[in-house]
Amino acid sequence: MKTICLLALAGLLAHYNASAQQIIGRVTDKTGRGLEGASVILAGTADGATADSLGRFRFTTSAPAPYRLTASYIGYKPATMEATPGIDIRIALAIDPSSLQPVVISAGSFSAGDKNKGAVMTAMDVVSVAGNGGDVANAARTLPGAQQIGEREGLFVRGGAGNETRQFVDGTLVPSPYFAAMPGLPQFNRISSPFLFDGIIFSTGGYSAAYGQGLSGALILETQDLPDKSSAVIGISPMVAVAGVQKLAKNGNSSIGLSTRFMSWQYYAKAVPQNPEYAKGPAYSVTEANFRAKTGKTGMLKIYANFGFHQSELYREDVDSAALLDRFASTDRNIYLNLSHRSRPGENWRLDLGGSLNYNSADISRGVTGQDKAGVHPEGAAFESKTAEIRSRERSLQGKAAITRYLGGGHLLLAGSEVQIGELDELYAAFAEGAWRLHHAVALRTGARWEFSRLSGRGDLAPRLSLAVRTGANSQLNAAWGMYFQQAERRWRAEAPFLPQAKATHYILNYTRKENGRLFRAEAFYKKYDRLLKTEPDIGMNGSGYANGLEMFWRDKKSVRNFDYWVSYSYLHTRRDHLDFPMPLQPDFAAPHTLSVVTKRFFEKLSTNVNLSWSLAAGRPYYDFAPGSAIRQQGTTKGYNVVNLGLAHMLSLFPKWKQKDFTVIACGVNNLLGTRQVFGYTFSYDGNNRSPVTLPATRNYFIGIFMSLGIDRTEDYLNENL
Amino acid sequence: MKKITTIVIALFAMLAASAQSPQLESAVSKLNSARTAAEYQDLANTFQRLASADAKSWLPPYYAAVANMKLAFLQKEKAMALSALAEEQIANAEALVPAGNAKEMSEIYTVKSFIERSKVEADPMTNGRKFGPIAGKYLAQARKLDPQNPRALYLDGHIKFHTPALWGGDKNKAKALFTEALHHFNEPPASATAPQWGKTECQQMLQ
Repeated sequence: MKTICLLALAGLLAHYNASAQQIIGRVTDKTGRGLEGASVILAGTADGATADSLGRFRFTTSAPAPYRLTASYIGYKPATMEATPGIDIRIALAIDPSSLQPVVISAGSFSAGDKNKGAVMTAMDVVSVAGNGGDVANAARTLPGAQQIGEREGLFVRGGAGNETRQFVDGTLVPSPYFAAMPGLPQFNRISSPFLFDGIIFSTGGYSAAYGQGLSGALILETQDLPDKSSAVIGISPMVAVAGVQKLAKNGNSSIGLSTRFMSWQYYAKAVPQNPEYAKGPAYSVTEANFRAKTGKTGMLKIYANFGFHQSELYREDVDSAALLDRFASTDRNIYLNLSHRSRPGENWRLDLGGSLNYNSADISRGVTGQDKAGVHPEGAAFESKTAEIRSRERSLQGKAAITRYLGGGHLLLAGSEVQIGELDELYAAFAEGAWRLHHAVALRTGARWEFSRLSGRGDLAPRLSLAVRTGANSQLNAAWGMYFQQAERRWRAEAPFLPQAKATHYILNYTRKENGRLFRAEAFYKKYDRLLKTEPDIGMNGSGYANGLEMFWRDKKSVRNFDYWVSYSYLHTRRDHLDFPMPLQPDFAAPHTLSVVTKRFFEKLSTNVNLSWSLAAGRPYYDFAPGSAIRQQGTTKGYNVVNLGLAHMLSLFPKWKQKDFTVIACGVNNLLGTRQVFGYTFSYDGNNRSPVTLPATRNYFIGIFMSLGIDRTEDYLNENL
Repeated sequence: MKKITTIVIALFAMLAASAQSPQLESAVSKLNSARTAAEYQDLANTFQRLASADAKSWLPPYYAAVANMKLAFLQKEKAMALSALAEEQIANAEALVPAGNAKEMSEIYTVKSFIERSKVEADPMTNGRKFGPIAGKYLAQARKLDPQNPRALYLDGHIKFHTPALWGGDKNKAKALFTEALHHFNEPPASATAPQWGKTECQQMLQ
């Protein structure tokens, strides 16, 4: 018995030693590159190893054959193979497509906010661009494709005029987001508070068939859903006073909000002289109210109302006579109401309903006065067009419905219709779009939009295509093509009711690489205007033009801790024959080269954010058309060069309060270096005299204190700067 | 004779178990001193192998999650994939913890909180709002289950340390938490394989 036991013991040990087998091999990807860190495991045991920097592994096992090895590595599909001890085995792993970011259709567009896949910016990025005055549309000017236009409002995109980029809120078009235009000054956008929105898409072309009436671009804004908690905000500065509350219902299912802003430059102008002289204002009051509620299990209802008032009276030297002044006075009131509802009527369905109402009234008075500002009526053709009383009232009503069906495999279908009722016309539109995931690395969007104007009796069909191909784990190639239509402004259609829509075709090619907090984007485009409005010698849609160019964008928020910057460069070559142009010309709002650098640095110890932005643009052309539209003079202005600086110091004034306040003291200087900017010239009637269109003051200063209670915006700052 | 039989039986048992305890012990002690991504990757693989060979013990998947979570902090570009893997492993571990074991559940919740935190630190701008509060919730649960858990104390300190003062960060409070954590780190672990990692990091923060 003893012997047997000893024999058994010896046998056992012998078996144990004899069966220690060595398994060797290599784990690679499909191209043969070693996968460092890959795990190799022998099925049914705890034996295995980790691959070294060349993908090699080696281990011993006492387990009996067969030896089934499973290799796995993050981002790859695991693979199992049979191994023979002592013989080098190679296991090649294939990339697991589900581990890659989905391909996102992104030609032509920049998106911000966490609602959007492939977002480039957040709402906080938008507010913290130095010198933008907390205006979403202004912040978009630091992105490629947009011009640095300082003397009028609007986004001038890729050789397009300011009115060719339209703004959309929760799906519906905002017919006129700006207050009535002032001569030589940019006007204020009344629906642009970045904290109202958490989804922002700035498209410089090639956008979806769900949107229309923007020949060049679209600024697509989506308002926030319910706030996280109730909050209040107050702010004061020499130019602005703000107060607002957001109240979340106890059950968390609805919220109401009210906020009001009052702004006046009149007192500021006394401290810092402005040209033109600000006799009154420009003063603004904007009151916003909103109601948001969950409806049913999946529904979200949002109502937003905006009431605006603006008044200004400006005097500037008359270009035809040094003894006289030009007077411009404007009073405008407007209402904007937006209603939207979204729901999921079925597991794979989404229904979007929207409606909006806009009312703008503007009373504008233009005239000529003596130095004492008393009205005069000088004789002569030069002064004929300088006196006018304009009373404009414009109402519009819109409705939109869209239904989305999510199909399996990442495909979706979208269809909808829209009606826009204006003062003298109704526009009916229908659209359909399909997004197809052809392959894990290829996405295609096919869409079409049909629009019919009751007044002109014409219909237009706008097909649109967009393609995205993944070229690597972090890079994508995008292409887009599409037709875009836009109606002429009402005053021209009142004179020529049968005017067809202006028409442009976009061709876009884009490469985007996004990795590790850095983003590079290059985009080439060609835009052809087949029809553009001509006003001389006759009103017609017989204008035409083209634009092509190349744009680059680089953003890096990783290389230096607490430091974020982006650089955008746009090259633009464009000619157009529109309005009163006698021939195809480079328009006066198109600079061939534009460069923007935006930097943000957070100083943790000082709790201060420092934002610096620098914009540089080549000179823009200017023209003096003699009566009859012949070019009398032309030239190029000097380049544009502006540095803006903004500082925001964050603190808590009453840290002992139950609802700790969050206070920001902000100050800033626009055009820090005091360089003189010339945007163009105003010419006298005879062409002998000209006066430059420039900034109203060399530098613009801002200081203010803003305090919010309840809501902790800190988290936004914090998350951004950690 | 009986003696020999016992030896044989014991030897058999040892051979069978040899795949487990000593390997786990050695890996756990390696984890205590690991620094580089390569070391953590090797440990993550080792623990995962131990987990697949022993479907009953909560420790191997727990440690696999710890190693992958550590990797997620070190390799920010892969953090989302690594944290997803760690989440899967910690869920497996959680299911194996015997009911009513507050100390062990506290360890589970601490790692869950660490995993969420790794997502935040990988891309604060996109992930901060989403995962920051979840990390806080798990940490609160961990602290409640075992107020003396040194790893939970350390994580609490880590968050306080890296948050600017204005927003509730407090370097002094962080230091106090690290000191308290170290005090508990200095108590010997319940066993050679019981959770004990984190002491080195904690000591570094106090230097």
